Amino acid sequence: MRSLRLNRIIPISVMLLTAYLIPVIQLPPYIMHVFILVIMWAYLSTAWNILGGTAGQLSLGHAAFFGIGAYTTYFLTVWFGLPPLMNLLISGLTASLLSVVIGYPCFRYGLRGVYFTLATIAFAEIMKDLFIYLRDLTGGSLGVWMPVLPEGITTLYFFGKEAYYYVMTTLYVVLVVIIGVMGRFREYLLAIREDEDVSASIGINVTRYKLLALMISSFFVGVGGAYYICYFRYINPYTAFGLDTSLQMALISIFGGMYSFWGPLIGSIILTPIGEYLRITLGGTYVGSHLLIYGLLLILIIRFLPKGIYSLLEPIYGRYLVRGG
Amino acid sequence: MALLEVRNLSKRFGGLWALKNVDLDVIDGEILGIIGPNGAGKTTLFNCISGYYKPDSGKVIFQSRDITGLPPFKIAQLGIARTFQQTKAFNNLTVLDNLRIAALYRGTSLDDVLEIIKLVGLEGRRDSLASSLTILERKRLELARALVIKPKLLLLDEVMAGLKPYEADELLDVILRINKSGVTIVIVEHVMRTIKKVCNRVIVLDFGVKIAEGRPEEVMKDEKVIKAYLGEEFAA
Repeated sequence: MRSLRLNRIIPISVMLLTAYLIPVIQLPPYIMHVFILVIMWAYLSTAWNILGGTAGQLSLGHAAFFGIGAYTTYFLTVWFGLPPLMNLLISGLTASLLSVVIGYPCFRYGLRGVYFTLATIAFAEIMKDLFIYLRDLTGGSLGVWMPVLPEGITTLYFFGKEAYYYVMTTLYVVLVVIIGVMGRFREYLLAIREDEDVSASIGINVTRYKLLALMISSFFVGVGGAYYICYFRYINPYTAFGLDTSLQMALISIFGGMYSFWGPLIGSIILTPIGEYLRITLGGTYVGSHLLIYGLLLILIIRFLPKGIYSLLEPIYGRYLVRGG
Repeated sequence: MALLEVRNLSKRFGGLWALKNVDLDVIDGEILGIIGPNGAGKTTLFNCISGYYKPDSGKVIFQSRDITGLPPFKIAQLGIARTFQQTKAFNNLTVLDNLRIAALYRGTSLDDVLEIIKLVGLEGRRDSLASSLTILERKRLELARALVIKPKLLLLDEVMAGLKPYEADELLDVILRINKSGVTIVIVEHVMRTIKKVCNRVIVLDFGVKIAEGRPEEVMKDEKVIKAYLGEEFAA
């Protein structure tokens, strides 16, 4: 792979340039909004995929970290008047800390497979109920609104969509770069996904690396949640901690290809616009019907392309992109 | 000098003693055989030494250090490598990637990894997925993976099982060569023939209890051993 370095850098640079140039063509705000959603879900799913795909620990409770990220930014901004740009970082750290609460007991005492998945679902549900219950602190089920702030990068408050798009794209690029330089750590996660007993037999501290994967994953998901509330200006516990949010991250990764680096991006490019389209065309009349079609797509993918859409592209682009795993 | 000392080791599963007060020494540089009928506790012994099971009582001492109850990865880092009876591998990765990842902790060089691939006879399958290997090849991958971590002590759990005699002989040669390079080996086997060929010393387990110890030829004449393997009526 060393000799292919240039082949890796060129397509990535082209992609990056394209992504950053999209706002130049002055698209209508709603289309710009869909672009933001695509990148945001690609980002969240890529972050989810560090634990769910690369390390093979299927979490369906990442909404807990998304939600805590969003609410942390809200609290810090409203109560302490801290700049949202900085709160993005603190939200990530908070989410990361919170992930240890669920991750350490699970990994330390060997909760594997579906039992881990159940624990993560339960954890997110607990968080949701907690935030609904603690009404005085959290605004309860009505949710919270971000205040109007002066426009600017430190407040992450902009009048146009373009700036939000640039911020999101930059977050995604940072995440991709960080995953790209993980090197040996990523190989350990791969090993753990493949077989935990074998991993231990070659000296890999399975518990530690699973926990690290969870912490990194939830850090970025927490930052994503913080971004969400800065962009949408509103969140409630159902969106923040709901199973839908957790599922979305997992589905996009599985659909695009959870064993590949670019799977979540591909998944989001296809699924997010479909979801948006279905939501605006059917959502009003048949509430939740977009989820029906989502489910159907997922069944088809798992049946016919268990390694996701990426497996269709792999023979063509595989040698130019970062290798799967 | 004893490289590994097992003292009074016991492990129970419910009411069943899988190991009962087992004592044994592994001497630096030897090939020790552990034999016994099905369910004698051989694999349990390996699992207790390598940390996959926590023993109920007793001690495991490796290079004068108490390693009882340490997690498997720690024991691997200290220099005890093991193979799995039911072969395991990173199935979606190639043979080379399997071993490359195994080499990370110890920092074994790529050249050494390639050397080991050659030693176990997998050079033709280097770029094949582990899932596509035959049983024989999977056993060899087990062996190669254990070697890549450069162990001082190598625990081989039935690496010969299911092999044809000539295949087993090939693998035996490899094991002897590994031993000559300075690795102490404990080998659990079912097949007496292989044990006789390579082991200096044999320990016999039956129902979790050590019933005999000594040179292979002596042990096989032992009354208790014959009884354990063939039943009461065959004992002289």
